[in-house]
Amino acid sequence: MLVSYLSYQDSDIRRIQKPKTTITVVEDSDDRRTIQKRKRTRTRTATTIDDLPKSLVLEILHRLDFKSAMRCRSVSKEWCSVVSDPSFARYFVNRSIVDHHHCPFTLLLQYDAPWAKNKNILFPLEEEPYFKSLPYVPPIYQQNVDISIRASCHDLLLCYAVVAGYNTAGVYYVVNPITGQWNALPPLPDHYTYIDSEWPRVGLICNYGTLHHKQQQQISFRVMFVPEFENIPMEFKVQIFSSDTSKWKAYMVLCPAPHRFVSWIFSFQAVPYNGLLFWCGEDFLVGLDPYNSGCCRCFQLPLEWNTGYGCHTLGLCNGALRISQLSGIHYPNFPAYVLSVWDLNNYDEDEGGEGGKWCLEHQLCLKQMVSEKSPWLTNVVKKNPYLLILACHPNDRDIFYLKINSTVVSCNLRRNTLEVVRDLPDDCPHALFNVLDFVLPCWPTPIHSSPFL
Amino acid sequence: MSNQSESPNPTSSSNKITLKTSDNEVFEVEEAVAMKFCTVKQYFDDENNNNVTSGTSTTLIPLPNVESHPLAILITYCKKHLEIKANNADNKKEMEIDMEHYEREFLKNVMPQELTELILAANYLNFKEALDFFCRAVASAIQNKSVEYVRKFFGLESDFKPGEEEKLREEFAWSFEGVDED
Repeated sequence: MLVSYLSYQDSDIRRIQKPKTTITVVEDSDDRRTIQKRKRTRTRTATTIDDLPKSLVLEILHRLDFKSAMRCRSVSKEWCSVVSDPSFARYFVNRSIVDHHHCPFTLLLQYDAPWAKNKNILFPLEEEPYFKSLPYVPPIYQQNVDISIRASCHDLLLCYAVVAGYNTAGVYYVVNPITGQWNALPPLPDHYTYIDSEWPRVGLICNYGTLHHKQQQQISFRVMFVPEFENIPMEFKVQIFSSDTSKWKAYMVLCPAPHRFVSWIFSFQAVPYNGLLFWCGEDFLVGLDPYNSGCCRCFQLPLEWNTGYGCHTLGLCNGALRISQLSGIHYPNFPAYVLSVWDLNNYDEDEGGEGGKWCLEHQLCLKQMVSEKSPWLTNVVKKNPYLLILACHPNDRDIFYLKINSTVVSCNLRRNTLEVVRDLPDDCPHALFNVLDFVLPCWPTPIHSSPFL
Repeated sequence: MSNQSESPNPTSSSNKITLKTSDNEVFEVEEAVAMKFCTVKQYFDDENNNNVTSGTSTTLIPLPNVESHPLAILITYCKKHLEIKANNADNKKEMEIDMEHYEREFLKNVMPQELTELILAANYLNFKEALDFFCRAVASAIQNKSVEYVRKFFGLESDFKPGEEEKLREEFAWSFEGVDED
């Protein structure tokens, strides 16, 4: 009954069988004439997608989600070339910026314990189909090589590969596990002893800006190493790798508050934010600029920050830097663990100075938390178990991830509830943990390399 | 669903424009409808400018790249589009809801082969709303479907050399997980 679109008999669309006047179609190009001819010689129902020019295939593929678009590379050669074009990636990145979509994410939980059977196992915290098997190890490294992930930025990972059993320096590489692109970095200048340190201070950052403006297939990224400090430096030397030059270069950084961060508290992995790489020091948050070397921004940590105590995290939540600290650990008579969470607001005000204001978002006693689905967890929490804070949720302001004994737990700070996320192997209750964000943008970040898969 | 009985077109103006398709069908349409086709509008404006001095006015416009079948569908879609827009001139949200409803019903009567024809016609006529709509329709039909389904949908055949497709699939194995049943 509906849409009688074939009803050209409608009162105002009159179909006239024989045109009264003869129209001479002035064909302004040979091109048009050919198209017209082709169309006339075939039957009407024979229109297939083969007749669609590339630009229209593109219009259709742009309206797919990212996963379906990637899959459509296998449809035909033409479709493959449409999806592989850098402009296609640019479109998706632009769209994600415009729409502020919730991009799929996971937290990669990596542990490293000398006594553990399997070092460096990844535990994706969220069940996303994308993340079931992240292939972050290039095949040439797959035998007798220890791989650890040292830093992340969006969907890029910085990994360190070292041949098992040999006392040689390893190789750093940046990999996009979604596309399989990877890029091995040249060796770090050798006087930097931290290359072999178990947990070097390192950060990875990439710049999406270049993707919009230039006709280039890769984005530009930087890797920055910060040395361990044996005494208190006024200025210190950092090593920065630029993907534009494929070289390491040393830079001096003059820090406005150098005496404020001491080596043993300076956390390992940097958090990339607003073009800077942030580390949490003893009582300062320090941001170093790998693009404009030598620049440094410092934010004094909140007054309530428990200086000298190590169980803290730095992360991003809803586009703001977020720090958290767990206090009350290691004191048997201490009444309870208290988790405090602060966001850094007004980051952009007072550029270059001591801008930024800490806002206490949550502060609560973990003993009060209850788990409806796992009552045993409620009891465990009451007994002051071995606790670690792992990370904040990148989008949900109320969710935090904790490790309680050998279980990863998500914790809703508004509702005071706990939920089991997954169990960890038994051999790692006291291992060192490294937690990395892995956020899949609407389009995987392209880097220079050949695919390894 | 009373809208099938021809309600007076709110954008009605007495001016009619005649369009002639590649298969020599001639359509007489409201000027407001024809002006949504930017290609027609351009032609119309150019011709009128040229004819200002001579005093004649062009009303018959040849469309050598459009056949009558898709054009008829596009005209119906366009009329409805204008009608919904006029009915909800002061409420964008309402307009979107009405339009969405109409488009959903519209698609029930369109075959996949017609969609590609319509995309070509809408593209040639430079009718942006229709192009967007039909491309969205095709995209949602193949969203999360297997490669085989997509090929069948469009009547396409794989032109990869042996091994090439397998290699692509291996590289992007993760994108083949969790695909809908055909």
